[in-house]
Amino acid sequence: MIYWDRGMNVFGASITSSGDGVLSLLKVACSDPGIPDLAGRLVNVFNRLEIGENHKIVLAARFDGAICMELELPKLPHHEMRKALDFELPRHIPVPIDEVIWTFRTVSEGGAGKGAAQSKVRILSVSRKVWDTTISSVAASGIKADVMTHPVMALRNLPSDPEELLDNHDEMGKALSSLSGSDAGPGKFAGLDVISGLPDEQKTGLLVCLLVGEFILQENVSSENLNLSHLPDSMRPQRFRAIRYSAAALFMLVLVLAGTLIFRSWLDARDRYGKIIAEKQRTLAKIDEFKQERLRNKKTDELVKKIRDSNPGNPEVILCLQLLSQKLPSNMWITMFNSRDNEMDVTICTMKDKDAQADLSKLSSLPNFSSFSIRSTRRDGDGTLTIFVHIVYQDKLKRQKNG
Amino acid sequence: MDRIGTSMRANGKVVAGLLAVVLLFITVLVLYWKDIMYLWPGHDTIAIEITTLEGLHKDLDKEIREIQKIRQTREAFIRQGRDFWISKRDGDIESSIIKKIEDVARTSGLKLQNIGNARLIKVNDDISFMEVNIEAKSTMEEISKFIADLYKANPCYYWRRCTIRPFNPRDVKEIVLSGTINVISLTGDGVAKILSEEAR
Repeated sequence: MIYWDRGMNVFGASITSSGDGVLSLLKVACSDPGIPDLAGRLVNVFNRLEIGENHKIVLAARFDGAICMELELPKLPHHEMRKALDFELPRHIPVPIDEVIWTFRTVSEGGAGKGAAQSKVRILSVSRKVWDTTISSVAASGIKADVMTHPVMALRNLPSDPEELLDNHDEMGKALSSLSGSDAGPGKFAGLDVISGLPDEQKTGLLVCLLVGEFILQENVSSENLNLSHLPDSMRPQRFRAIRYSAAALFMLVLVLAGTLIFRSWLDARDRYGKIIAEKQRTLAKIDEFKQERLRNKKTDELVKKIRDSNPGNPEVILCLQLLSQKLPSNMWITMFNSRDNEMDVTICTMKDKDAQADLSKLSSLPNFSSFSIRSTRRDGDGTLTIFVHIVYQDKLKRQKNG
Repeated sequence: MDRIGTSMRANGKVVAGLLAVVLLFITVLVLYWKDIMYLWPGHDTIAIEITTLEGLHKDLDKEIREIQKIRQTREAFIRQGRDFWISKRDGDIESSIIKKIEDVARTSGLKLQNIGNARLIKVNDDISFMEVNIEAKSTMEEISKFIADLYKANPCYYWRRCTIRPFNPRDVKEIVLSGTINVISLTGDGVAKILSEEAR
């Protein structure tokens, strides 16, 4: 909790709350009057308080020309109340509403009976110019804060002259006594002895810190209700920076890995697809090349086919005769050979008719003869057996010549 | 949420611009989805392409088999260019073919008793058959030699009909050969050119 008064004297108190509701004052600091500017004083106090990363930092300032008032308004939800005040405030603030920033908090809501539908709202408005000046001073100090408010927003009861109260040593002394509990029972604070020996002015400033701190810790008031306006992001504390940076780094790493994976997947898919398309084109080109070749040689190929189909005759009669002379059993002889194209009628004679047909049937296994059949046989008077054979030769147009 | 709402209200133009960009992006995505899919082909696209490619490979295999067969036939045909009578190369077939056969018979020592009745049979514009009848009476050795020499000679002589029989069934020394010899004559200019070039 850091507070500065009208004279820009900065006071700081480090307060913690234990589970049983007792608040402990850990450390206090007051600015060195030798430091000329507010920013320097803020840094001085901030450093001396040794505020940890998990501490909530509340700044309370005495804004020049701040207006604080309480209004009785119908009970409304918070956001509805803001809209209502937006409409109502110009009638209560003597400056144009655009030139001020303001906040409010509901102080009390009506109970049962008359006034049950009413609620008391405390409004604080500060000139925008003053707010900007204060913000720039704080920004210059480099201090980060969660809340920036005016101490009057933390007072439970709004006195007739709150500014006077905040500077009044005696009134603050009374308030200090009630908090320390030295008079009647245990108070709300422990460790107040650290401020007992301080001068009255410092005591007063520190007491304001304690009052605001106590209010925030005890009432569980959200910063939204106390904050005069949203603080710039650059002024907000960056907590758990290491964890956040680690998470960000991890996120970036995951993003990079995912990106790499996606890129790799895309690259592989493109590569594979490209290869398939290239192979398709190559295959199509090859098929086309063959088709072109067939087209180019169409006339020749048709001629060859026509020659094959035209059946000009058998050029290999000599081979047929050679085959017959080689394969015919030695006890047989040919008396007549008659060929018509690739078909041949051969008259074979033999004196030994016992195995004649079996011997001849061996000729049918010759690959050059696609058909070999004995048509008829005739027994002559001299005992000669004449066999009429029909052969079909199949090596037509496959003449193998040397030279 | 309030802060987001406030921020959005404060930056109305930026939000509107962002919305326009997002809408444009979605429109482009919808309109050019196919092109985007081409840029990033998925498993389905690749599977379809692979199936198409497999079909093409089958077509190619079939085409290769067919073309190889045709090539072999064509090459064999071209290689055996001398088997065919080409008028531009070999002269007029009607006046030359009988002399060619007689030359072969003379070389073989066979005396042809009869040769003639040459007739040209036109198969189509490119192919004609020249048929010649021959008749000879000699020993089996001479006839065999003639047939063998005829086989070796160019052009290729096809036997349309060939009869070999003894002149006298009781005397096998004298054998009669009678037959019809066929020669293929190619008259087409293109084919003649191919075969002539190959022969050279």
